[in-house]
Amino acid sequence: MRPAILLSGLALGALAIPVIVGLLPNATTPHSALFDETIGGESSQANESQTHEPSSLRQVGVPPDNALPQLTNMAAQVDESTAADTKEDEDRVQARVAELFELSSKLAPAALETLLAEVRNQNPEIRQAALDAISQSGNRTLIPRLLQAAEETEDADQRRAIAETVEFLNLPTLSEVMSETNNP
Amino acid sequence: MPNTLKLLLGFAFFAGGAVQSMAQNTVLNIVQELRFKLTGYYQMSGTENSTTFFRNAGKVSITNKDIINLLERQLNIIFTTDAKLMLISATPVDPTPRVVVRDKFEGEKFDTEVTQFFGAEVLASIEDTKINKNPLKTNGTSYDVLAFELKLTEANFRIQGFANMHVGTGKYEGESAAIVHTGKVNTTGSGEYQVSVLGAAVPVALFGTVQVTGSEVKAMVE
Repeated sequence: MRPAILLSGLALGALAIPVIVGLLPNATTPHSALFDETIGGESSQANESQTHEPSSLRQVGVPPDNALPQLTNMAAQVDESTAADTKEDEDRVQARVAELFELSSKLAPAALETLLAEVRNQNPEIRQAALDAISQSGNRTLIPRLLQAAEETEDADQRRAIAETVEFLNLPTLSEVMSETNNP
Repeated sequence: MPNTLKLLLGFAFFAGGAVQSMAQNTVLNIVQELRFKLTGYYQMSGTENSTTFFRNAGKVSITNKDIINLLERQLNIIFTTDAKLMLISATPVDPTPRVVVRDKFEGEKFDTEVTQFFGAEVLASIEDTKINKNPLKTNGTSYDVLAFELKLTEANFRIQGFANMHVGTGKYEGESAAIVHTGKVNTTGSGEYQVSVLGAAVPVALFGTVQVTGSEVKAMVE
């Protein structure tokens, strides 16, 4: 009896496998579905008419062959426009950096306020340019405002950069040292 | 001839077309601004207590203002607070660009040549760039080593350093005319300053940055 039951069970299991596979949900990913619907629409339809494979066995993420050149062109266009945007941004930053350095020799309060404001700029290159311009100015009256800016920021790198600028401003300049030595 | 030099000579021919109608001794130069931000360590007088000798290091800052002050005394010229240190490089390639002090007097710009006292040298320049052929446009990075030397009666120093420079296109009258490098050079070096006319020179150990900015190309008569 026992072997008969065993054999019956195996036979039932063998019959159940195709049924279970047939009931599995469609395994297409959003990625391959996009190719079917947009770029590879026609060819995917042709492929479906020529070959019939269970959707669960379809390769995930593989576009139809004729989609590749179009995808390459699209990627190149995105790269070019990204590169152009990046170049424009770089030019804007460089222009602002040049403006800030122009201010380093000015004593007008408005010029100093602009430099101090840019110490808090989102762009790290502009922030550093503002700090460098303040260092070039040698204006020690800005130190309290710089210390305040350091306290108000949570960015450790920004705090360090401000602290280095304050330390640099606090140093005696070569002109001061030579002047003291020559005129004690 | 290295490929880079061939390419840059190509720029020279292009730029040459822009000045065909000009006098023969008019050349195109790249005009950039230099900003020095250096820290110097120098030996101060020693101190001692009953048990210990102390050798003390002093620290000093050096910026464009200090360099221009020193040049003023050397040249017997008084510059304004707007005076700038400029680097003038010949096109297409100039391993020893000139340094001038640019100032304004009654609204007019004037340059004072100081190369005999303050020199610059491009020791190495390796580019990693893309050069668009038409229109001519350059973009990329260069790995440069630059040196600057100040030789004055009262003070002298030599600093040298590496920079990852941005490479761009300099324009003359709206047309691409030169490849221009801009960036910040991390420098180290040494020097000394004179305590007094009869006093000893004080050695200084230096580190800091030199910022090179600007991509202006100007026609100059030489």
